[in-house]
Amino acid sequence: MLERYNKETSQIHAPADLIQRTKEAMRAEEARLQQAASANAADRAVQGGYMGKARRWALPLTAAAAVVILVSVSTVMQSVKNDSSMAGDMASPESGADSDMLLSEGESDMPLQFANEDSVAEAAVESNEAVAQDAMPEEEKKAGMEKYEAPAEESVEEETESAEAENFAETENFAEDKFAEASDHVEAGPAEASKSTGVVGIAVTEVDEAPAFCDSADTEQVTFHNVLFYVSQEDSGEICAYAEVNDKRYLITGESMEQEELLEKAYAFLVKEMKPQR
Amino acid sequence: MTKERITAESVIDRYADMVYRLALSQMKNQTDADDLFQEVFVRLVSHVQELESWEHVKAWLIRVTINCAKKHYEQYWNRNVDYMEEPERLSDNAQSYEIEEEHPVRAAVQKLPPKYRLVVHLYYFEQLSVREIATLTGQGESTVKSQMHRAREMLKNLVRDEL
Repeated sequence: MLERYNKETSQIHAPADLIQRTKEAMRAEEARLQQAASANAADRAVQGGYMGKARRWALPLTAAAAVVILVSVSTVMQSVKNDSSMAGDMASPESGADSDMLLSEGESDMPLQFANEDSVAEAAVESNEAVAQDAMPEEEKKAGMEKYEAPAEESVEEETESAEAENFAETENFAEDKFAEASDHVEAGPAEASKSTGVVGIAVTEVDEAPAFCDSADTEQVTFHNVLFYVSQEDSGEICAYAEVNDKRYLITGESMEQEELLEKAYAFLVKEMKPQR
Repeated sequence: MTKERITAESVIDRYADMVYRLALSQMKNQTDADDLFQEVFVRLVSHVQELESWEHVKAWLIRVTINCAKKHYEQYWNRNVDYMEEPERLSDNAQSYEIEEEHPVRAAVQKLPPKYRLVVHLYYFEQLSVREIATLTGQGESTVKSQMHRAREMLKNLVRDEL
């Protein structure tokens, strides 16, 4: 029976048209596969080229980014350091004394309050210059130091004015912020540190302790507009007075004037001092 | 001795009848057998490079034909339609498949369930061993043997009735 099955089955042949159609379908499939393979190869080439370029640039770009970050961080740190050093300069007694000395020598007719602001601004400008000089070459730095050390009044004024013009906004705010610190610093400074009174004919010096003449028997105690003055007349004709206002001690000296005139001028100055500071 | 290069064209020239007979034994109509035949050889195009010998080619063609037929029956539509269809529809295409009266044994084999048809065709016509059939179908040898035994019993009854 199964031999007969084999005989019957062997008589079956695949139709020629089916074989032909199948061959055509196979050729179409072959062409499609080749096209897909070439497209894939092209895609791989494009991707490989792009990825290769990306990989080639990845390391330098990363390194450059790291360098930029390091430079920016170091710049920020440098500026912070400079700010702190500038604050240190402001707080140092010597610089304050220098600025006050310059002012007392050159601008004795300027009101005390504004003179202090200017001194603070000047100190700020000086510290900025110092920062700039750090970055200068050595010769330029020396030239700058010479210019800085020149005691001429004109150069000081020019520096101050130019600094005010250039850094007006910054300096004014900065001076306002630092004014209280500067005043405290003057208190803590040496007794010899003096201020311009802004009043013609007298000199007012803020001192730490009451002068010796206060304990002298020749010293008069005069109350002028509720302010107690210790007044001493020197042999040279100079009049010295001492007063305490708002927990501050002032030594007032005047020449060629009467005691009452000196007290009036001193009182006028002290009234200004007693006004609330900006 | 130069090794013969195996191409898709040479494979179809050599094994077209084998695949076509196997497809007819698995499908219940001429159209599905034709579709299965084409699908097997189109698949061959992308795998012909991997085939190293003609024995390998033959085994590959039988395995792919079986798998495609299984996939055909696993589809919901074909599963339902095939159960409703009668094997007589195989005789619709008189050009490629003779009428049932001229091939009574073959008509009886076509009435067997597909898995029995397969083992009968592979064992008696393709002359494959039980082990080879087990390997190609992914079944155990004992399973193949039991399927052969049941197929023979069913054929006896069918042929007795037909004849």
